[in-house]
Amino acid sequence: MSFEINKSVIVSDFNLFDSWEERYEHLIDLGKSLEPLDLDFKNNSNLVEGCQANVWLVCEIKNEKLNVMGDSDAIITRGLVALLVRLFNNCSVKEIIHTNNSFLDEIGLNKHLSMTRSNGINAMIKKIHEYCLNYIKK
Amino acid sequence: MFELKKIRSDFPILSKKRNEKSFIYFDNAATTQKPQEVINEVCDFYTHYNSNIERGMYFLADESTKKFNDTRSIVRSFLNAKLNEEIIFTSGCTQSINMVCFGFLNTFIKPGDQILIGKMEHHANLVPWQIASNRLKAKIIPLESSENGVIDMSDFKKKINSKVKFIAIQHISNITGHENNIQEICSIAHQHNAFVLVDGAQAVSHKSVNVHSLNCDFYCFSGHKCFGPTGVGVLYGKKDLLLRMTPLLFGGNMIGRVSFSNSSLGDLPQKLEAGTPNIAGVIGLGAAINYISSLGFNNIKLAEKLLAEKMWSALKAMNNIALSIKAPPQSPVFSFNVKGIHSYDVGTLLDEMNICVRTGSLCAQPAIKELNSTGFVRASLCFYNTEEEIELFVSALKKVIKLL
Ligand SMILES: Cc1ncc(COP(=O)(O)O)c(C=O)c1O
Repeated sequence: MSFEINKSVIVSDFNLFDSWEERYEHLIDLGKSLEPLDLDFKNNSNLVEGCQANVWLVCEIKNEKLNVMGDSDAIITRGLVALLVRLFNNCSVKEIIHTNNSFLDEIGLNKHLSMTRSNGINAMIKKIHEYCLNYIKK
Repeated sequence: MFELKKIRSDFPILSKKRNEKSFIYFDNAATTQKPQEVINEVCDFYTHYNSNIERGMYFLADESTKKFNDTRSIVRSFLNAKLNEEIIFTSGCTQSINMVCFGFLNTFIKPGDQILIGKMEHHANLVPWQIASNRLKAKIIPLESSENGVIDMSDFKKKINSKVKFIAIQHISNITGHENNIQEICSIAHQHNAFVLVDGAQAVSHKSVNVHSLNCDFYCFSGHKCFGPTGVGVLYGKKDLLLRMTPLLFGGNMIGRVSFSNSSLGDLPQKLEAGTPNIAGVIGLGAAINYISSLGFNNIKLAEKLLAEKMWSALKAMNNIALSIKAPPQSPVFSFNVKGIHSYDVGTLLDEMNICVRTGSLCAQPAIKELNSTGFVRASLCFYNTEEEIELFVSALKKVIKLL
């Protein structure tokens, strides 16, 4: 799987919807279908700072590829976590560190969903990036 | 005469459009919008007589100095204080509280002394006391609140004793909109020789405040929560107490005589207002108070009572809404949860429908915990809101619930 392919699938999914209501419904559905995170993982060290709702992200690298899991107590934020999981899961570490946040514009999240400014999605992406960067430095 | 249409037109921001639609501003407890009079007054200062106060020998400085000092009289009569020098201009409620914590408490508190603080306080009226009491080795004792977030008076009477030297409480809660019985608290406190600071941040825009009849020792508020500019606020203190206070800031404008090795402090109020103040802000605050006076608190209370009643019955009629209070609030503030839904999700979707509310811990984490919540949706109204906005809000809320 590559980041570019994942991204284009997500972009075309979102483009199916005309109204903000439908886009939110899609995001909420994504959130509802996300595998809940095991309680053991919902600890302070996995908490992402800078989000209004609690967000936990757990990263792991196997064979140079990222495996990311996450959860949130707010459903819209959970949908965003699900989006990031779809976007980054199984991508190579090298590919991830070269991505930037501009894909939010391409997906239409910045334009259509006004909440991206406050929901901490940037903080989540930063956490994923930093995890990969630290792995490469080692 | 209270004509809503005219009043709304006094606030230029209320006609702003987003995506070609008007918006609903229900976050008045965070900050209120500004009437054109206030905007003009600030603009007028910079356009026509900008100059520093109390020092220039020329006509511009005369004008700014006069306006600045006139505002002190306006605030004095707004609070019904006795003397102009009992009104200290600050940067806001937070600074006012910090001045008392670090400039007054330290002049007499001994290790082991007690400070009573309500469990429902905003962080601004809790954190400074925590830090100050740590330094002074004094003890903070929490005051229990009743189900509507007001001080439980029987708990207060149990906890007051000769070791209690200070009590810090809010006038009206920023979460529940309910009012503390300040007069009774002050009277009991004074029988025990304790001082009382009242955080009036959420009161001054809703009701007339009379520090004389409340008989509180200190009263604080922010200009931006009563239609004035940001960055300006007031500390009222009884004169003999302000005289005992040590300033937090030292510098120009506040001294008597200065030699290179020594200086003597000036008189009140300058002693507590070091440096160039927020002149435009203060003058703007004066215009805000004049605006409030032109409407009259009787009219304001009447209009807000109608809004609060409508909001209360609308929210009560929705069975998946859990209100933070059991009785209707005295000021139109409503914190609630939609059962099973995170406050952030509700706020996000309301924003999508051009409705501004506050969500989360409302700068009062211990209070939120006290109310058995992890975060609320807060709709806080004010006299310029309309019954139609409440109807739109309720149908938006129903839509949110359906989407989630
Ligand atoms: C009850 C209460 N006290 C104090 C404050 C602090 O006011 P400011 O941030 O303007 O200093 C607020 C503001 O939210 C408040 O609601």
